[in-house]
Amino acid sequence: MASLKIELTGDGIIDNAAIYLEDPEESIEYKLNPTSDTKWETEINLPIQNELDYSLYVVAFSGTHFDCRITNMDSNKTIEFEGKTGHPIKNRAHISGSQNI
Amino acid sequence: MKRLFTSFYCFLSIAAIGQTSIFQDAKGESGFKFFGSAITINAKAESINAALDCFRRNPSTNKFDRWGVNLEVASNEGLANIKSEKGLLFDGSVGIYRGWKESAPAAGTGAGWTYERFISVNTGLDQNKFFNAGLPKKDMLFNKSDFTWKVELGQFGYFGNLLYGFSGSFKSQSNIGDLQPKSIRLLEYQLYNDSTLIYSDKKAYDETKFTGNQHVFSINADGALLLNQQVISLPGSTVPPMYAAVHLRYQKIEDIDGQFNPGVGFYIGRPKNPRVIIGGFNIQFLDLFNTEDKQTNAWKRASINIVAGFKLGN
Repeated sequence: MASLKIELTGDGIIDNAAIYLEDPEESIEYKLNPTSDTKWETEINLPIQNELDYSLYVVAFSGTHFDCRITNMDSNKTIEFEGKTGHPIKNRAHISGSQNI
Repeated sequence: MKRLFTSFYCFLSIAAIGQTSIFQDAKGESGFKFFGSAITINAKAESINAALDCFRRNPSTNKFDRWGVNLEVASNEGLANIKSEKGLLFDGSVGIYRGWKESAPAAGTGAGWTYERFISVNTGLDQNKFFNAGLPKKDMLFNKSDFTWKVELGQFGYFGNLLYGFSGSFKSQSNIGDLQPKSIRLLEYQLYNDSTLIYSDKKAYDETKFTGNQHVFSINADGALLLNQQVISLPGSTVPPMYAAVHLRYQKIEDIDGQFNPGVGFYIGRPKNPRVIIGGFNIQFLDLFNTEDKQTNAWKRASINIVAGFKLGN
């Protein structure tokens, strides 16, 4: 098991966000919770090895830039990526990846 | 020759955003409500607004709750002269806000949308110095304090490339904002066999022009269409968002005929943060249907407002 912290920070207002994290068994949606209009986060425990597959979904008015950081609280390793809403779908962003954590 | 009134106002936004909007007219009215813990200064309206909000998700849904408190310190033109003698030195208001927000599910495939419905209640203190030339000298200048209140309901949000907001409000306020203070010169001393006179100058409002508190009903509606969505949404693009906007304002004061004050505007937003405006202008037609029967045409009653906004921090 790994304890993960997901933090999403928008340059502007984020209206909704969720992340799908793949564990060896299944892919589960984790809704992010706002601490303000621009900062969203959640903490979860997940049975992962080294690789983490993720799909981040964000709703915000088109052109809103955001950064996402996933931190393995046990090892302090992080994954960081960024995105922008509205391309190719209006007011949405979907970013997928697989990185070592 | 056409004569247009031009005004300039700017906004200083610290931290995130407050219970104010920069898609607003020269009087600070707007159908948009943007939130966050912030301090906003409106130089045109000579007001400072501070807002604190609590925003959380309803468990396992795409609905959100918001509670907010805002504090505003405002002034009218010449306030520093009028208020600096004694007693409280400012007008102010305090308000509470309750919002219900819903957004498209995050993991959807269609275009995203969001709206927030709200109700807000504000109460305030309005203090001013008045004169009445018909009273004895010792009673000619005096202060008056009025409590004001406002209840507002509305909705704002976006879908597609359109940001929108509309609200209706009912409030109790005076006409002090429409009055111009007069300079009053009072003789304080006569010295050296009347060869030296010492005056004190004061500014005050004419009490005979003052209506006292009146009930005011108003409707604000705004729409801002994002013109270059495809360009600003490209990864790495630093092109600023551009908007064409329509502002609709209606106000009715008790038995006086209602006034319709529509406007159009063009705005430029901040790259990567499209709902923050860094510049633009709007033209507002005051009393479009001339309910006051003024001997001027609509263009002469138009107001051009230039907007400049900037933000400190991230």
